[in-house]
Amino acid sequence: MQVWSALFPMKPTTVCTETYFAIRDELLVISAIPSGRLPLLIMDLDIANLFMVEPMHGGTVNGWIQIPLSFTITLYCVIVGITVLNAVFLVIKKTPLLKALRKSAVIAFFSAGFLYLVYSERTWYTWFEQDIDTYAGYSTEAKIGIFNGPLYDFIKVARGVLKDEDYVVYSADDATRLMTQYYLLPRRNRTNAKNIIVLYDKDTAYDDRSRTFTRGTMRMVNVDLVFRYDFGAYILRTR
Amino acid sequence: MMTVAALALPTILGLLVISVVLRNETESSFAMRLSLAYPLGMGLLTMQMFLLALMRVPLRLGYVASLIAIEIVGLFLLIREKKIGLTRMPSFGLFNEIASADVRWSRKILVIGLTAIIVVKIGSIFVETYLRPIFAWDSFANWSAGAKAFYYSHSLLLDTDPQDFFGKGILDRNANYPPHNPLMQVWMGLWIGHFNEVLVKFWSPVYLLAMSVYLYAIMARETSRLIALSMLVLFLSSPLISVHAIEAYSDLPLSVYLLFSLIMFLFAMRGEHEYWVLMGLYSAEALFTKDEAPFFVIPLVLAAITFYWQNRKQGLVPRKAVVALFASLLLAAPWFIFKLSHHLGFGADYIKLKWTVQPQIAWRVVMMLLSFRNFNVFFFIFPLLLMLTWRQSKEFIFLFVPMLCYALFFMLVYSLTEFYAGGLMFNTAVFRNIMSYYPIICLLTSLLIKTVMMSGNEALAPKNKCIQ
Repeated sequence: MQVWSALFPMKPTTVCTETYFAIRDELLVISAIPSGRLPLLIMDLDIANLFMVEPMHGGTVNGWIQIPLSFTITLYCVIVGITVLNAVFLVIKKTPLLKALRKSAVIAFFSAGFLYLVYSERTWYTWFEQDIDTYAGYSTEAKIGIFNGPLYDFIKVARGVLKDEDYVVYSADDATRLMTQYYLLPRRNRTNAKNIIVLYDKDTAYDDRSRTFTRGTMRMVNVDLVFRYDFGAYILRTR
Repeated sequence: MMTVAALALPTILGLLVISVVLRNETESSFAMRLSLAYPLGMGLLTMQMFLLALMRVPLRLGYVASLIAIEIVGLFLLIREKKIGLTRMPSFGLFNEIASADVRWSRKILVIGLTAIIVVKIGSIFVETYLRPIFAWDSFANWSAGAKAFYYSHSLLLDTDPQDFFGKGILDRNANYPPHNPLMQVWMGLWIGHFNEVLVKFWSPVYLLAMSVYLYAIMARETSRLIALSMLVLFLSSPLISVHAIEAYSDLPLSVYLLFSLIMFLFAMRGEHEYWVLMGLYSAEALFTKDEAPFFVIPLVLAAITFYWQNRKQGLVPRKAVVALFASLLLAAPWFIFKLSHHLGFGADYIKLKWTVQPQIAWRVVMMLLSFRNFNVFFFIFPLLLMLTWRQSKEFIFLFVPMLCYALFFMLVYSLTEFYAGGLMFNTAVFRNIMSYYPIICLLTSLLIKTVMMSGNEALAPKNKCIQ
């Protein structure tokens, strides 16, 4: 078990998955918006760098997609500029105003649309390249391992330990608990299961010597340690 | 190879059904029929898997695949017996345009360039699907969690303890969600031989491919190939739709079914009566895909009834076509009977219906749309063109109203229920719900461009049957 720990140093912070980070980012965005205020605040306004086009936010394909306000404003400028200029040109050429506006709006649509296309596809293909570097050539199991990091190594051992039996999982982190449950399916998370999985849960403690497991006010004796990954991640079995 | 077989069988089933239904129709090309076939076949497959599981037939490859095989053989024999044209000659209109000596070089280069962008984009989505295992929260918590449990139990978990019934209690799975998505994953898993976290979601990019081909074909028919290609390129630039196409989410299949049911209605309005059945079938499959679907399907059916009522004296719609529409809608009935009889309810379990009035939320949604975050500039240009081409044809209004009702339904949900009022799910929910009618917005925008073309130069306007 010590070897495992040395090979896969899993700490509470590294258990967090990409998904977790994405959700955390979303929470940060939402929590940054005072309720009732205009959502323009979502797109961090930076007057000084209004026309400095930065890439879409979200580091990977799994990130939340946001574009900077500077680019949104650029698109509006393109739409308004092309519509007005083209309409003026057509009106001078004796086209009725409404017809000129209609044609100009269509041209503006395609112009702004293609600008957006260049911008968004640049981000898409950056993500694509990253994923090729990260996942290409690996088996499905290896890909899951890459995606989840050390957590998946723990889960693989847990599968062997649990066999077909159910378990109860305790973790302070929702994403870790969810991923563990998912990858352990069809084994189920049940309140009174014999097997106990602990993944960095701050409310739990296990004493090797007295073989006692405590969680809040709950205290269980005669609990065997079946597998320990490191100090905060282990599997127990009640008799 | 097994993954290809898993995708091919429902496509063949769908193609045979399409061939029978559209036996007198001559305008749709083989590619169009093929793109109609895949979503139709997938829907028919999962509906039958659901019925098999209700009858306690184990969800094993032998049982499910043999049923589909019998249907395919039966339909094939029927097609031979009735001498129905099984395949139409593939249409190479796009390639002919590139090869034609009459077309200018600048146009050829544009067509080649746009086609290349589309091919590379869709190709990258397929590769990306193959690269990544399931990665998104809702797939883990809900769709794939249910699929995995069904796959390993070879059932829908109907004979278990009440807390486990129909996969309730697995992670955050909402037992009231329609099982189309999980059953597609089960089907893929049955062919692959195990629940492969990469390959079980391979149905998803195929939905995007089918939608792209059909959307292009319709837009090309309504406007021109160049405009249709440009529209498709812009449509596919949505990062959100790309992400959904590589993951086991239900929003993309829903958007395909909603779009197809609306296009079927368009053809039905133009007097092609066989499309009433298909409109019903795609609507039923939408109802079997996500809980939100009724809020599109009900306005769509009401629009169809209104159209029938307005044109009853001219005899534009035979009564049997309307009967066929309602009969095909009944395909979704077993799911709703099951759902109501087991009190599974609607919407996610964690949404507690607490009423509130927050009109500023609607404004916030509008601002999110106008930020161009996920859908290119469609949501700014569409209302602009709508205003500029103010007097719309009846046909357009019949297509527009169901979508408007659907969009307004979401606005009401966001503004009147406490759950969505700025909570965690807000951004995700808003964008993914919009994504379900984003393809319809693309289609309607192309129809508005057609109106602009017609008003600009009558000679350039495509010659389509159109109800004014």
